[in-house]
Amino acid sequence: MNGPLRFLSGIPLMLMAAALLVLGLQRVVPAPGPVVVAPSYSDLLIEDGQFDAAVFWNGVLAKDGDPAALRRLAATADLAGLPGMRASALERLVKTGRATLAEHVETAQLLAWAGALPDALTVMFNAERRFPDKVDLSFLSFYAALARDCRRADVAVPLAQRMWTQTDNEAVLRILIDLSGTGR
Amino acid sequence: MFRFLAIALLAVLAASPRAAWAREEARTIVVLHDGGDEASPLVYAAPVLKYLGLLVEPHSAADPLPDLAGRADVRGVLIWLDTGAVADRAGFTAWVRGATQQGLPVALMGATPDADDRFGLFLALDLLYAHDERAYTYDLRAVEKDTALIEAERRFDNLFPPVDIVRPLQDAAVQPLLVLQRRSDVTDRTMPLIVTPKGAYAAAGYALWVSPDGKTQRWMVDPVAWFRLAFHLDAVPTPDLTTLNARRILSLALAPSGPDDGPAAIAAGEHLMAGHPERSLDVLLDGPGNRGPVAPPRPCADRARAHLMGYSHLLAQLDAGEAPRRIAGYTPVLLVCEAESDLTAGAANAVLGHARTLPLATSKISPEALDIDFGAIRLDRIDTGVWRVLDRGALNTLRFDDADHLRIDWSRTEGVLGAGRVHGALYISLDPDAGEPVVALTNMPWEPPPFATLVESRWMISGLVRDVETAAMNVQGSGPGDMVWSVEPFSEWELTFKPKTGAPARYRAVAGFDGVLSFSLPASAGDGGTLTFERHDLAEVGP
Repeated sequence: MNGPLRFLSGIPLMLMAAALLVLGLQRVVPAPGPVVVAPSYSDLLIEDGQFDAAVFWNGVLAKDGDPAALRRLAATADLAGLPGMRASALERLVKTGRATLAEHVETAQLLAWAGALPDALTVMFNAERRFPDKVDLSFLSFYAALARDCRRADVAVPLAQRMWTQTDNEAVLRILIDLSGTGR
Repeated sequence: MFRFLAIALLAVLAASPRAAWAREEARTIVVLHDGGDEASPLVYAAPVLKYLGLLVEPHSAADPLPDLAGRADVRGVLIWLDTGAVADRAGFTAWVRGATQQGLPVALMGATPDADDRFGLFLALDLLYAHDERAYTYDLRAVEKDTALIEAERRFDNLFPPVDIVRPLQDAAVQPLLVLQRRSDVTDRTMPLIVTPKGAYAAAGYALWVSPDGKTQRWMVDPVAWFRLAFHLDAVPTPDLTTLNARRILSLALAPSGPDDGPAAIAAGEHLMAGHPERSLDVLLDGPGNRGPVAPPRPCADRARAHLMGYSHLLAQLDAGEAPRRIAGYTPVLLVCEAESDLTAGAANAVLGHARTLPLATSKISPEALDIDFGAIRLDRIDTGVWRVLDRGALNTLRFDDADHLRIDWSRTEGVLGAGRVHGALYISLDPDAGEPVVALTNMPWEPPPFATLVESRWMISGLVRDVETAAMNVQGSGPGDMVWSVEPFSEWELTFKPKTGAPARYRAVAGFDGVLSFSLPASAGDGGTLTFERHDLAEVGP
């Protein structure tokens, strides 16, 4: 009776040994030739012109919020002509804190286009906070326009003052005149 | 004395009938770019211009601007810069103004040239220009949109690239394709896509979309329609290399994917031809050349893609060459890799199965034979709506785009088999045996042709001799001889087909009220043959 029991208790050990042997052998076998990088399924779908399917596939891969996967999803959505999906992917990327300044601005543009002006303003606020030394006049003019259209004078006025102190040329004056409008 | 001079003058005119009126059709487009061979106009615009029968003459904006004075061969000027850099900033506007004053339309696309006088540059195109510092565009809305001409391959979706303010100097005679407005301010408008009598303007990003990685491009305007408008191309004959007798030319080819794959390509070709001598198949050992589309995208590493995706994308590419415009022949090239030569048969079967469902032209003529010196073809306008074609090589088709209102004027036409219509274009089939055919068009209402005229044919037809009662010609082609002819309505004909090898056959054909004779001859003209028509319903007339 003890013999069969001993044998059964040894099965997991045998399986583990076999697995270790297989994995160990795989690790020491050298590559047979030059490494061929297989195309991803997403690449194949894009090559085949199946953009919607590629968006779906990349959406699944980006479920856990990996920044690289989100970037790929955003790019595929751009190819597919799906700005809403692109905005959603970029917004998630911004929330990871790993987005570049350009990705922040693009997210804000897409959100503003979709009418989500307060969300766009939030993205620009965080962009300035994260990249304080990199913002330029075009960034400030977009930021200020969003603040104006969100009726956030508390944000827009200091921005206008900063723009004026940064550069007092005629171009800025025109932007400020435009900002003084009431969001016609 | 006067009589002598008059006779001498008449003799000179009689000796040079072409010189009396002939004027070579201007076909050169001077293209100004600011990059190398990869500059946008050379990569994206040049194929479209070639499709329109135009000759591209590239000039770098880093060099002195080309002298256009006295150039009768120039049809227009395309300025498409990627960065906007120009060497002659001071003289740039005067150069553009000189071109428009010479009557040459100027199409301005891409980055705005870094000229000293930008306002004057736009003024030369009858446009007013002001730089817009507002780099954001979320508050722009399209208030006018020419839906037939824009968003050809991709929609704007109201996501507009940054744009300066451009408006017409005079509203009359301009054609804005897109008018944008900020919020509800009707005074705050711009026209990033606009055609004027002096040319056309497309702001950067409004004619062509390029993905951030540069791998994918989409036309935001219909490029053919855009350049036809910009360069005032109305009824202009276009040498067409995609078509034979109004049908797309079928030519399947194999090519080795690498230097060691030549034998595999030859073996695959022999395998495909075995038992099918009528098939037209070329093995291109020197590579695909100008043919396309080329498949698969990853030769020698294509097994996974082939199993997962099949060849639907290749077939879709081939379909895209036909509609909405016929821009390419049916000339796929399959790359053969020795390690994956079994995949070639699958790809070839997919293509041939697809081709069988389409009306294509099959003959011994290959795309390489049609790879003629495009610039050497001369199209002399010898009268209003009449052109003589010279130095055409193997060219057998002239195309007139957007020609629903046009038809052949048979009273002034020579060396032409007939014409067929595809997607609004008129495809004129030239007789390969005609030395210098003359094509005349008219917009008068249709009337029955004075003799049998070809509409379309799968086989090549040459040496046509015809009168009101008969027609005789040589034929050659693989597969069945599907043909359509136009004759007098309700007329009756006897057809006699004599293949070079095989027994002759006779058929009776009767045209209906539409005057169309449509028939299919047996597949026995691979080595050539003759076809004759004889009209049988004309009443006998005595002396």
